[in-house]
Amino acid sequence: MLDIISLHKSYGQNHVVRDVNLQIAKGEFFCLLGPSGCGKTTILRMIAGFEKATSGTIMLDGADITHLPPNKRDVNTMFQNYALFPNFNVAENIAYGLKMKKTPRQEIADRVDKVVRLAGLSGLEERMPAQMSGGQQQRVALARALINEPRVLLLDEPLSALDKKIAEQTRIELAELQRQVGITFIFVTHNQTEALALADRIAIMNNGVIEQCDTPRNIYEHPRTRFVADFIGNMNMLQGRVTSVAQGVATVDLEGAGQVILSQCDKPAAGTSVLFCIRPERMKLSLLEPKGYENGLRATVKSKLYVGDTTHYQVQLQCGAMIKVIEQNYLLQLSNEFYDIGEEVFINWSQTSGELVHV
Amino acid sequence: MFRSFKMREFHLLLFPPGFWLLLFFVVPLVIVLVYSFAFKETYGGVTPGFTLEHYRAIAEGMYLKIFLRSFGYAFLTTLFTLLLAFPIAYYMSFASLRVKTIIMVMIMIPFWTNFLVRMYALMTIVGESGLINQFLMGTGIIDQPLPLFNNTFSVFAGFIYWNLPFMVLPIFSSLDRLDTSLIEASLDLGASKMQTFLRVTLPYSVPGLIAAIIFAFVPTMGNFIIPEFMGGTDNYMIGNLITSQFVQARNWPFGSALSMAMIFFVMIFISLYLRFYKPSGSQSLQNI
Repeated sequence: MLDIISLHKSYGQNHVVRDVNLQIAKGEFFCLLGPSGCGKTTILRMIAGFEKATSGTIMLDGADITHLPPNKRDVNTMFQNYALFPNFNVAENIAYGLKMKKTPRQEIADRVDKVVRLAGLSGLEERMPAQMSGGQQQRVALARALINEPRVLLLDEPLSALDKKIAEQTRIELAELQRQVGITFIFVTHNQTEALALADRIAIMNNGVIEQCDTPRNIYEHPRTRFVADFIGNMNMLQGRVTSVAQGVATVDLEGAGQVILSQCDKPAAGTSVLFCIRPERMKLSLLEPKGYENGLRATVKSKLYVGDTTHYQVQLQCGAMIKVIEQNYLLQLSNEFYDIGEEVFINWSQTSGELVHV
Repeated sequence: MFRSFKMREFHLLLFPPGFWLLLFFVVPLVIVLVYSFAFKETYGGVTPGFTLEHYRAIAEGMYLKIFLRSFGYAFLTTLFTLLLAFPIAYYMSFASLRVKTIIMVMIMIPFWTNFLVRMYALMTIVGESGLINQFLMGTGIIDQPLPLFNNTFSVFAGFIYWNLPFMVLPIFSSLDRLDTSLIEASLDLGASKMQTFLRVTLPYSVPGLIAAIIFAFVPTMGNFIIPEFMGGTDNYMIGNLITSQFVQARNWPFGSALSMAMIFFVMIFISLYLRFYKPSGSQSLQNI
């Protein structure tokens, strides 16, 4: 539906977007995620037509839209600051697009009415933007874009200006709304929780390049690059070398820390340098040696933080590397396993856990 | 944090400027008002009293004509200057910081230059043997110098030159504060560039436009130096008339009445203007 083919954008010597290729399907909720300055907003602005691509092509339903002005693209944007017209009331703001297209008056009224109800803005039609809360303004901005029934809706950090509670509520509504209208959504965010919760697929960007484009689950469970592994969630990373691979079971020698075994892993060849990645919640502390299906490393508890639902331990391996382990408090209470600072323990985890990332 | 101070202490800040305004603005204005009702002595003296004679005299044909001419000059000057200033301000607001700074300096340098120097400089351009005539005659386009000086043309040239920075700056400052995402939103929603200009850009420049129009109109209406320097006998304005009443004719009461009439007229104009533009004006002021 939306095809981006080797898109490139540079300002002089500064390459902001480098050789980006994306295929976004109709009705997809697609997310561009990355730290600020990674080029995600620039891609969005090139799709909207506010920035000219240095090279590459943007195709919408088979038509080349790369060089069309913004008003000739069947694409609408919800701006980060909402960009509501301050001298128009809610209804006038929402009707703006239809008015510009010379839609008959009666049709405008009907469609505004419908969208106002869809966005939960009934009764606020006469309000001026300055008289509304951030959450309400956000809905107006969304309604103003959706009323034109664009083929693609672009959302630039749609929830970043809202406070946390309202953003979480709005997140649920946004997902629901997208299912209802069936319009392709492309949204840009630096908030990974938002991206993981909302998107069908996420493209993770860094330095103008897409590091990985996949479903939220695959992004979280199977990061492909060091950047993705580090950027999404908490991750322990240890340098290592694959010593053998046989029938999907890889043995990795961690530098000075010992050996670990990964079942369900056939990617790297023996001899490759890798980064062994494992999430803190996949590991547990124990006084017992690892069982046959587990990996285990000796370590010393260095710090512990009780944060309500979980406890965060920092433990030190014998080689000096620090590892983070997150344990569910209710499980710790069941087994009465609490460890104190300075205690010698094993960190154990299943051989099915962990990922290898090429370096 | 200011709550902890007593408001009374802040009132003290108003004393020096308040005293200044009282002594050099309110008192003279009251004197002018009192004089405008007073009687004129034969040798330029003023006798206190009450007469409306001076105000009646304003309505006489000759003076009324000068009054209307001043209004016309101020109106047309404002209009022509606006037509030049708006494009400059518009261009500046979208230009890069570098270009913005260059234009700003170009506008500010004449602004900082002595007024008389600027008027003499203008004379060397539009004068009978000025640059324009020299060029046109040198290239053989004309063989007699064009009448560019000491007439209505040169008065307007002077007024427009003088007013340009006063109009560019307020318009620029309101356009420059316009959030570009509003323009992008308008284009994004399908509006053409022209529609966007008319519905977004122009309405947001209204506060600046009002300021610019007042800054140009009011001083032009009362100006007497430019018609004196650049104009001929047909370009006598209300300012010249007032000056002559105080300096040459020694008719202070009539001069005072003219001054009061002009202040009154300008105030009517400004208050009508502000009332007329209040809805969108105050809105935009609120949100910019």
